[in-house]
Amino acid sequence: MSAQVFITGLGMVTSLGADVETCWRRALAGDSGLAPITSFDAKALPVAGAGEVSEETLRAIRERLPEEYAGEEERRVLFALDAAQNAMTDAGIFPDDYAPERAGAVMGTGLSSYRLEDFAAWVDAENGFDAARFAKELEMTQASGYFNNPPERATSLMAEWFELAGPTGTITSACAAAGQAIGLGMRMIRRGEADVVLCGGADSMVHPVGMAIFLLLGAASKSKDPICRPFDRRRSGLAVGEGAGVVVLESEAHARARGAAPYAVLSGYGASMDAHQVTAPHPAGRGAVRSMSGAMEDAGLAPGEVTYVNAHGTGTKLNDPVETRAIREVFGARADALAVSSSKSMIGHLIAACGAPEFIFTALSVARDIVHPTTNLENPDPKCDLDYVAGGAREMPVPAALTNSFGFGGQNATLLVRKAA
Amino acid sequence: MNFRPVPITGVGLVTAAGRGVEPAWEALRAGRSLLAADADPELAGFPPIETARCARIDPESVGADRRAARIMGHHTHMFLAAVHEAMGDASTLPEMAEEDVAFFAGMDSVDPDKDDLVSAVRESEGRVDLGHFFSEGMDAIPPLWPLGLLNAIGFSQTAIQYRWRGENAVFSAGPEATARALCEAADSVGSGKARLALAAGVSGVISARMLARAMRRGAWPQAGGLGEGAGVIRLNQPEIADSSRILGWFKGYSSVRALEKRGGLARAIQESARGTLACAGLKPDDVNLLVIHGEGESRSDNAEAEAISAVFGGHKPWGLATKGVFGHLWGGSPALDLIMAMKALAEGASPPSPATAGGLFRDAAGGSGRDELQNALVLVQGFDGVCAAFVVGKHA
Repeated sequence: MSAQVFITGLGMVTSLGADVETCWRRALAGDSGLAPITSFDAKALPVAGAGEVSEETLRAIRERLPEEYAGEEERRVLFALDAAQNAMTDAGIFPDDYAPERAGAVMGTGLSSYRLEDFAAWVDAENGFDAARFAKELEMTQASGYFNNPPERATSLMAEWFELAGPTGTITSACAAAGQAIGLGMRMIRRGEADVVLCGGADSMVHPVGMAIFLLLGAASKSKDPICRPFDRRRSGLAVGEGAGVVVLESEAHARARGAAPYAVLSGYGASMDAHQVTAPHPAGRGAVRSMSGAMEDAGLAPGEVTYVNAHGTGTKLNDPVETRAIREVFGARADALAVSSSKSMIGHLIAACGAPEFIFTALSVARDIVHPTTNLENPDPKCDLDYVAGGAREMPVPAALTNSFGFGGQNATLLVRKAA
Repeated sequence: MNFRPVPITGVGLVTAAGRGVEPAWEALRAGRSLLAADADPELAGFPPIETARCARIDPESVGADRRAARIMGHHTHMFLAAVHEAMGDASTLPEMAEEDVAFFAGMDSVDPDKDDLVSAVRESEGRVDLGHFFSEGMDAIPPLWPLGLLNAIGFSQTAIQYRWRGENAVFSAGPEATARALCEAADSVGSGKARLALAAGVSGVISARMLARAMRRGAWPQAGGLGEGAGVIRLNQPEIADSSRILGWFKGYSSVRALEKRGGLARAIQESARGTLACAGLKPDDVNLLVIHGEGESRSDNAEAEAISAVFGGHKPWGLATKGVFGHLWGGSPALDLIMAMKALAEGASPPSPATAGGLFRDAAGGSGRDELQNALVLVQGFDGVCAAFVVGKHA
């Protein structure tokens, strides 16, 4: 029998705030974290805004991080460290509470904080990129850019800070990365590789290249207002967000031994690939179906035992009807009784990190029997015909819930959370 | 740890020696280094470097369709070529659903095509002109340019080509990523989540930007020559593996992160080796072949030698090191090392052991040693002190 995996600590940073309770309270209220971009000159950017973490919040994060980490330059690393600190504090767990070799870390993150400055400074109008000069001036590369922030940086710093000498990993499976990271954390505990795993995701694509990426791929909304409308007939694409979510997962035995009470139990993980097209999901949601079914099989639960789905819900033309169709296929006649909502309608799409704050919202829904709404849903798309909790937060029994993360390229992850006994 | 051995039923390899296991094995047996001074003008401003690059691969020769190949780079071509070989005569595999095939990879970072940005970026008064970039600049960038930023895209393209739809993950970056991919693939088939699993390790493509990243993280030039390549290991659920096609067994693994206050790198290497042996139910004396990380950087090498002495005591296995021949393939190295270990077990012969000050290995004087090789322990050192190890065993 596999060990039960308890969720004992939560930490998050999003455009709604830099602590879990603020983010949760504002999500229940249907507040939007989407606003015009302030971290760079976005006047010419054909996007109205993003789910950006404010400069004030960023300053506060630097002030509360230990001195050796407060100087980190990359936003996603700062978000990760702050969320990790909050999750550990929330769990009431400190390095003395675990054997270092039995404690691990897994984070999902993006790869490319590619800065235009890391390119522009060495472009010679006549000869292109001057690699020879670049090689001699590496110290001039952006401290916040990708030359100085490898993908595993947040994982490594978390491990160093919290003395996590057990298994670690960094996952870069696009938008499925954080969901997979939490799923892997659960597996590490189940198979006895670790007792405690700090896991989640962190990302920030709110920078010129990041925004350009989603425009070039036709995924970003060009709406005149900074609004994301998942499942709505007028949805026009995703709103880019940034932030982090980190959770403390513990084996039941470890948590009980130190008297820790769980928010909920992480009891299922499913992952799949669409294997269809790099730029579009499988039209029948084949990968999404497999991902959700896999999580329920893993947990040993039937569809009737799940009452809430925190959807991937990007607000893109392609995702929302496919996800709806997949939910219908998995839940059959029970689909109409489900509550389904999209956190991205308020915090935007945190890209590689998206699965982490959405997992935290899902865990809180299970723990507190209330689900947050999908905002901006005014004219439902006929192809999106589920109950998306459009009118506001809803109190309801949530014995078990799913949260979906479907990645660009076709990688998918679903996590299943259920009430602690 | 709950783990059961799983059979390895196929391998694929691409290195500077060429495509396939045999040319790589021949180079290793002969001790013929493939590293040479790199004269690429793009690298002229960097410290002198020896590299072992892979020859360009025609993606259509490894089954990629022409349309998909247009958005693939050399990184993906190496990946696909290794997968192509590992799958080999896939028609002999038992029938299974596409959802029963799992796929994990450790991949180094990839770089977007810089030439596409040249006309998009200009500076004004010493700063990037964002007005220009978001208007005329972006119009000059090909719409699929962003795909070149994501190593997960090459992974997805491979899954699409083979219609693999099971569980999966892309780990980044460096040797520890591939070690984790191997562990997860083995666990996937061992625990019954998948019937077939592919684990891959893929190096970066050597370029000015790759060297820049390596230098900024302090991983080069201390580590010596760099190589390119990819390795893929095919694992089956034990119940469905055709015994006649089993190349060897993946028996156990462990990973540990070095913390200075816990004894640093040497202790972490020891713990990962001991943890792996415990996972596999083996004693140090059961290990006949030790594939060392051996990257050529003194701190790393000294820690590894100290750990080997502590774990093996008076027992001296045969030693094997690949980086002097192929260079350091970062994410590709653990896969290459595992495949070379498998080959040594299959051949019953190890190339000359590396000469070490402490006389850690048998036959350090040189010459191919013949022995009853049964179990090989592969040591991996990743970035930021992550140490991993795994055991592969000969198929009886």
